Amino acid sequence: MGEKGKKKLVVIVVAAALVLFMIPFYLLVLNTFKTTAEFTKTPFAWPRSFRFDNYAEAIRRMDFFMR
Amino acid sequence: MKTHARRRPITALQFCGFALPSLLIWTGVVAVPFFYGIGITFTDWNGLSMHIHFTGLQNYRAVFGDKTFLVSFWRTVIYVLFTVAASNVVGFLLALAVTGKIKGQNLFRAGFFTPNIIGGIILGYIWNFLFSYALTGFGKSIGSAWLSKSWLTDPYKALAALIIVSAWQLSGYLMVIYIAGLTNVPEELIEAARIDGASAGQIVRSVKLPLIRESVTICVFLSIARSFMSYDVNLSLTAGGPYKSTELIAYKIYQTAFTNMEFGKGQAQAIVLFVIVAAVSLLQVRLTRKGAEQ
Repeated sequence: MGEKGKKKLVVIVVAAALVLFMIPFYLLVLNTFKTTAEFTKTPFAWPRSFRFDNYAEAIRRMDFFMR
Repeated sequence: MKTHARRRPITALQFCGFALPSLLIWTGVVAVPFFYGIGITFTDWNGLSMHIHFTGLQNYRAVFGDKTFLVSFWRTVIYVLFTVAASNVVGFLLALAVTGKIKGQNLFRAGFFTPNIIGGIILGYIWNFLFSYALTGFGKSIGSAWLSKSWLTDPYKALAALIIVSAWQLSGYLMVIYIAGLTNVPEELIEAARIDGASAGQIVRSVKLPLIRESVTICVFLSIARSFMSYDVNLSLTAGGPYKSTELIAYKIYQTAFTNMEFGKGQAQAIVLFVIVAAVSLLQVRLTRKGAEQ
């Protein structure tokens, strides 16, 4: 394998490592758009629809926009 | 009028003036509580009562006689060994990979460092969900008995989970230090080795590794100290469970002092931990320095 080929292999391996590293964040962000039932059943799947209910509930509970 | 071209040296008073604010803050926040804590270890204070009795070395004797404390301590030692090894190896390999002038280098560096930015509590909860629901669902769908049951319900697997999460969080931080060390290796040496026909593996072993000795010292020191004091991931990932089998030493100390309301005993445990970690860290730095001078 030439110099260029080796560099490409390194990029692929590192990219794969990065994907593995980022799985928890992928899960975290994606699951905020799912209902509880949906993410306990299919945690890795793309959300069926992007619902902001969880964000609304969180903002309400945190009193984020305090009056 | 004759003008003096000589610069006036800074006076001792000016020096004190600049250093005073930081010194005051450090004294108030670090030194005073530390010595106050040592004072508490000789009493039987429970955190609330107004009557404090002097009890001498009783608390320290209790520390070494407490079997749960010793079990927790050795468990922490095992945790530290694996976490330090894993995070340093991963951090170093990642640093090697992203200093090789490949495409997207900065994106990779930022990505691998991200777990370190998020606080330990949140990380613990994310991974808690991962281990309890995501991995078990994945394990059931591919029929793997090993993954189907949550790792957090088994004492050994839960400790392994703790090690994985801590190593995952720490390797990005160590990677940054290793990157700094690796980029300080003179380019000419690597070129010379390559011209002499050395393979990539040989270059790493004979050129890069010896020259980043200082980085290795720093990284091992930092990872040992950090892992010994690990508390937030412990709390949010396992909360000492299942059945108190993954209580690391910092968690145990917190329990003793704040949950069991035994401040004197808890503080004594903390002082013992401090002495041990300080001794281990200093020993490690001294040994590595001596090795470097040969």
